[in-house]
Amino acid sequence: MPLHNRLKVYRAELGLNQTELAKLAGVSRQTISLIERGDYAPSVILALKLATICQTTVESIFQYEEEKHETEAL
Amino acid sequence: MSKKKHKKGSTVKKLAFGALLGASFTIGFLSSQEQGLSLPFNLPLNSIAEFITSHILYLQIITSLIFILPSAWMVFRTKQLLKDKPITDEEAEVFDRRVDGKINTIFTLDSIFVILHFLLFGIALDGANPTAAASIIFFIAVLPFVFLLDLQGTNMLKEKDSTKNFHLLSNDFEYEYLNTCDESEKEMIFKTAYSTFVTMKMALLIAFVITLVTKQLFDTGNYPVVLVGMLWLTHTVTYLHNAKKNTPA
Repeated sequence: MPLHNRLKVYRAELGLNQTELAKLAGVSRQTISLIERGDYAPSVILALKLATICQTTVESIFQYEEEKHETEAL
Repeated sequence: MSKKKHKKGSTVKKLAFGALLGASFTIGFLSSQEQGLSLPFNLPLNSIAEFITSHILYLQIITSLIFILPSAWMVFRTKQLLKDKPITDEEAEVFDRRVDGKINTIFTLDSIFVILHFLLFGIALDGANPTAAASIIFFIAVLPFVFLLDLQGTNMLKEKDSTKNFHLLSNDFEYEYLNTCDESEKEMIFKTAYSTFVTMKMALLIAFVITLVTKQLFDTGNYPVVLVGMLWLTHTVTYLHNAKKNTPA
């Protein structure tokens, strides 16, 4: 998946475990785990919620890196 | 899915579809011939059917034991697991996987059992069945146990995740459950539903061809052909209607 994130880093800075962050964001612990592993791309609303909780911007947490073949095709 | 794997899967599907069409045309052609379509050997179907019908009560009892006992054991084991409260993220990951796995097993066993239970009950309703009354009583008596196991499963799901607030007895319980799911759970459900739709398309086509074969070989009549055709039509029309309904204006 071309979406990379530093959610685990920000979560650690806040001293929260996945369950606590999930509760604050209104999602399940599994969703937070999937996002941190890069197996799930959150919706815009969830990304904004997480950014608000982490007191930072969405771009600081999530980075989009196009795959090489997509760049070459363009 | 990688492009290579996707291409291979598409080729297999096309070949399977082609084989089904070929089989249908061959059956159609052979049945239109004077000699019709018949098996090259004698299959004692009547004897097999009689044996199954006269012993259907035993089949019902065996099926119940095969599915209900493991489901009940899973309920017991899951209750034991739920007593542990995970602390770290890794413990929570393992906990969720184990509990979800067991709850899914409970629902899977119960769902398959209910279908088989109804199927055997349908076969039991036969004038040639000497234990028809016992089969009916057994059918009715077992259903509450399955319902209780499902209820235990949903209660354990709610205990694990307090946001899951739905009632098994509610008419819209599937939609109530969907509304309690978060976005990743909904995505998983939608993917699963679509995969099931695609699989059922092929399954109904195969079932249709089988009814054509049985009509010719075993003289089952037009009813199974029409029934499967109607199911196929309902399946497709329902999908198209819901797709239109869910498309934003």
